[in-house]
Amino acid sequence: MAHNDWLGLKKELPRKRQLQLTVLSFVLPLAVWCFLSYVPWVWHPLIHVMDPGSVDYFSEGLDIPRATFYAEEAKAKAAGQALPKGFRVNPVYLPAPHKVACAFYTAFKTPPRLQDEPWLHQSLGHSIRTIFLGYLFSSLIGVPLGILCGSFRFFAKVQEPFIEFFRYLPAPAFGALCVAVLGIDDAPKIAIIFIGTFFQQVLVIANSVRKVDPGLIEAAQTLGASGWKIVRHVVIPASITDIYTDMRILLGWAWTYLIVAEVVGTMSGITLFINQQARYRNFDNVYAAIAMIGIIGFSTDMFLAWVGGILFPWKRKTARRTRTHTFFPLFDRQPIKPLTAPKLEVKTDVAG
Amino acid sequence: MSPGELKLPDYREQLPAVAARFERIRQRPVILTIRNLKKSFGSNGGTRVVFDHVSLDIHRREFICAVGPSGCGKSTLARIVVGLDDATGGEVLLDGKAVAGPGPDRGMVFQGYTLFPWLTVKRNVMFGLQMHGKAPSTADVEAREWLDMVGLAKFENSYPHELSGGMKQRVAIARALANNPRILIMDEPFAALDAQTRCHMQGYLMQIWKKVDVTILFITHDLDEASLLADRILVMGTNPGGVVEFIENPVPRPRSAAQLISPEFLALKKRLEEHIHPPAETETVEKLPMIKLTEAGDEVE
Repeated sequence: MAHNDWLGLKKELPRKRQLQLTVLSFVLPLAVWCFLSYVPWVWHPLIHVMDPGSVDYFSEGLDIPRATFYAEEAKAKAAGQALPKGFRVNPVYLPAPHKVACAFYTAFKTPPRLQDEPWLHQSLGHSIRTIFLGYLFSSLIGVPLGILCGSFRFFAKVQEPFIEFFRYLPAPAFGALCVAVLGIDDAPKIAIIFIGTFFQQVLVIANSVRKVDPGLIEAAQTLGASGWKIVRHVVIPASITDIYTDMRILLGWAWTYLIVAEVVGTMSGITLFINQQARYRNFDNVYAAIAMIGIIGFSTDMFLAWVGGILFPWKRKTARRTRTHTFFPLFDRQPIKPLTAPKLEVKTDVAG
Repeated sequence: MSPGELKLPDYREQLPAVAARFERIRQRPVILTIRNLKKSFGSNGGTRVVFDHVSLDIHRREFICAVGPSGCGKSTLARIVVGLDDATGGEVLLDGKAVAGPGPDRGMVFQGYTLFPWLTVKRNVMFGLQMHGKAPSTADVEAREWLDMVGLAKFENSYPHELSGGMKQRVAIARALANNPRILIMDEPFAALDAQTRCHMQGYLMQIWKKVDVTILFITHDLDEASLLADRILVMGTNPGGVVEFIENPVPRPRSAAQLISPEFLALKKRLEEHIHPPAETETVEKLPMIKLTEAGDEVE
């Protein structure tokens, strides 16, 4: 195999290269951001005024569009008056990477402006709690129901058509209703996440369960298993890895519903933090908070992938093309080599 | 008779030892009876009869092979006996009692292994035992014994994906036999294996069959395999589907690869070939309108 072939079609790359590419996938967008922020003649559409000079509507600290600034500067020059001074900057909504990096630390250390406002870690904790509860309630009902629908045609026919209909109703549409029924605190937010996740969950899990190899079920039947025993001992273990992957993907969906859920009733959690920081024009904090969501989601997913590898040892070799592998090769264990049979004495005379 | 063809004995001629063995088999109790079995597929007007009027008796510890052209319903027959498919008519009796649905008294080995990937080899073998409520410790001991017998004791803690095809199929055989079935039905179990492994597996199967009190119904499309393994060979046909002939295998036991060119074997093989590929059919292979696609002047024929 040619080792210098980076672009082999459907060919596995060596682990070292996979790791390099994974790092690169994060470094590339970061590099673009740095390029835009630190190279002064790239973009930087505004001028940060240091000294207003003779221009009466300029003031120190104001950001002026470049064209306006140069026009006023030319006017002042022509009139022989004091020139305004300033330097090129990016708009306030694109802070430089180092500012956002600092904000990661300072956002946690800075006390809230008002007494009753939450700290950042409290906001994050609140959001995680909302997600966790919404997802937990959804899974408590959704997973068993999905397994039932996948296993028995009866449940599939009696449940799925309605769920199929309901999943087209956007969860935020129930916001007002949830507030009317459940009040303005956390309950309606949890309900929104539940509505956003549950219906998809039932259908996706039912589908995974239906994909169980019928040969395994037949084999179990010929071994004397029937009814619930087959569901418990064959259908569930056979589909558990797929269900686990479904759950990981659905947890990502739950996060997307979070921001919608948190504006229902009284705004709370990370959404409240982001909105307030945006109002104070602390965009470095806004970016830090958004990145925080990504980091929490991504690291949860990686953690779950790693736990999956421990929980399902029989998948370690076969699950080579799952998200774990393509996403983060660190957490993919080395495949186990197939064992070779011991040389049994095979007698040539086949006696009977 | 065309020139070059061997003068073969009649496939019904049996050596005294072989005839005596069949006499002994006939004395044994009947394990499986199939009476007037019929299977047809399809609805709304057009039904296709796969087979009809299939009747046979299988005696205890007999090794039966079913052969036939594809589409003759030999696999369907196996699935009906196991209880995975329903017959359209007729009945299947095991020890005189009609069977309905799958049960542990009829073991099955599938072509596709169907081992449970989430269980270790030993736990796969324990599966049937535990389904019957055997204590895990008892099941554990029994599973080890069965794995020992198929020569895979060392792999008891491996997962199926770590085994080769032949080893997987040996685990599947151990798993089916652990239930002590009255009859073991094997549906083209070695068809997915390479020729070398298949040959070894046939040897293993013979050894296992010698040691275990089990009757075997073995579905195959490989005529050599059937002739090498079977006591009697059930030949099935199409149009109309059903039993064409139930042949007593004249090849004496113990069998070996050397017998592949013995007169009895060749006579049997010839008879089977006549059933599966009738002479009239072989003539009808159309000559394809082949355009010459080579430029090199290597006229081979």
